[in-house]
Amino acid sequence: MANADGSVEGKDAPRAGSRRLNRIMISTMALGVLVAATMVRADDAAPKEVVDELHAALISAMKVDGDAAAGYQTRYKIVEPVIDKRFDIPLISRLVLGAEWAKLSEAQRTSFGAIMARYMTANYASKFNSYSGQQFTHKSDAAQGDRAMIVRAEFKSGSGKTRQFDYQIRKGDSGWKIVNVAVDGISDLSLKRAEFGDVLKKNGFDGLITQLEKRIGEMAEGKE
Amino acid sequence: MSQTTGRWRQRVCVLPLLTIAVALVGGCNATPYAEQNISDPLEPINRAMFDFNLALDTHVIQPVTKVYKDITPDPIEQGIHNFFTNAAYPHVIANDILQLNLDQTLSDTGRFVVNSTVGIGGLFDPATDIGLKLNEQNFGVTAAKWGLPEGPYLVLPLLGPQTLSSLPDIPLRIVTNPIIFLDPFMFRLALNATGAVSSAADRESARKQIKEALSPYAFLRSAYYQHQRRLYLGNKADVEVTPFEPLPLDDVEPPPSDTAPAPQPTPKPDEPAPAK
Repeated sequence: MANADGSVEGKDAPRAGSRRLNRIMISTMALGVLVAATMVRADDAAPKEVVDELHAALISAMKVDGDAAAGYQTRYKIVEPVIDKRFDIPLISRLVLGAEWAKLSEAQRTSFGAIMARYMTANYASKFNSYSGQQFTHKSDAAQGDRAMIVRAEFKSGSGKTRQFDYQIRKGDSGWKIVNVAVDGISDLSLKRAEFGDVLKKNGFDGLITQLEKRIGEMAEGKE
Repeated sequence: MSQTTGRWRQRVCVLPLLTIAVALVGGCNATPYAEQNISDPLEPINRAMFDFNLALDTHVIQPVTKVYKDITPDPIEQGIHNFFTNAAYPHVIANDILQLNLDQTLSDTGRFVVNSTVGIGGLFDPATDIGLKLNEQNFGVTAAKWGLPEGPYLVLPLLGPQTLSSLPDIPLRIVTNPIIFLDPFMFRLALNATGAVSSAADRESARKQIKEALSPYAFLRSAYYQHQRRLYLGNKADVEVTPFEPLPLDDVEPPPSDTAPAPQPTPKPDEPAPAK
């Protein structure tokens, strides 16, 4: 077997081979630790980084060529992984359904979480559909108890009008995740609770799912 | 001119009476415009009014604003918008005074004076550039600051969402607008019509959002209460106001301890129902 210097030795060969194996194992372990450390760092993204990642995706989506309908799929694919990774979809699902959540089976909860993620992604992909110099600027971070944080950002439109974006971010087992966003003080989660609650009251859970699917379809066709 | 003004001044005198009546009926309100406390006993009528407003918007207002936006160059549209925003600004100042908010009264008066003079009758907005930011107020917020309950939610034809305690805002808005002092009547009418179209054009994006909602009625009602709540808590952009107050986030915290691994969300029978 070859040593590091390229020589081959008869009696010492097994020992040399063992040393090399050790080196390979150590290298592999070191690489594993490095990869794990990188993954941990990714999951441990600070609240500001979580929001920045979303904003970067939204700006990229806005820069996609094509009108509301033509660029939709591309924008959807840009935004989708960020929504999945950076939003606490199970918690959002539960909060928007309120008391109805208790009545759902596990399967219904899972399917609702999936459709919720698609609905949120579709909303971002259809609304952030053109770029004319818009930008997000981080303004402040404020702790809200031990496990929640509010990250405030300013959105400047192409015409210079500004809007205040407040993200409510919560720390769970898989790091900081966005639970809610309020634009100029209007909480998206509250709006959804109100809307969904009204639909549930009139049409039940299945009716809500049908309406969500319909709306997702409309957005995909370019109806913002 | 003077007759009209006098008439409106008489009508505005009912403001205190109406608000006192609301106070007597409802008592004091600890959390004004909180979504959990939305009272909508007239919902069937409100929904009918809402549908009427929506149809009116689709068939009349939207086509008119589209033509207006198409034929008006953006800078002129902005100038017109500025002019009417400034003309309506004494209404904001009146509410500042009624709220006994001296700082805001001075700031808003300064803004009105600067924009009316340097801003050439309000066509331009130099006040924002010197730090006198646009403020928003209405009598509903003023009444809440006085400790009066907002009363039931109402949807009025053309005017949209209100609460009982905010109704005096309608005459207050009219009597504080300098346009009311202009003659002749037709000129005043034309100006008011232009102002209405400009204002409608400005709200286009909000109207679009309402129409796209899964339940436009519930969406607008929630948005109205949240907006009023925000104005009540502090309207200035630099005021640190958390917009997340009404959310029951604490309800989903695992009860034993914060350090324990968070379990999968489980239903709680006493979780508040969605806002009604």
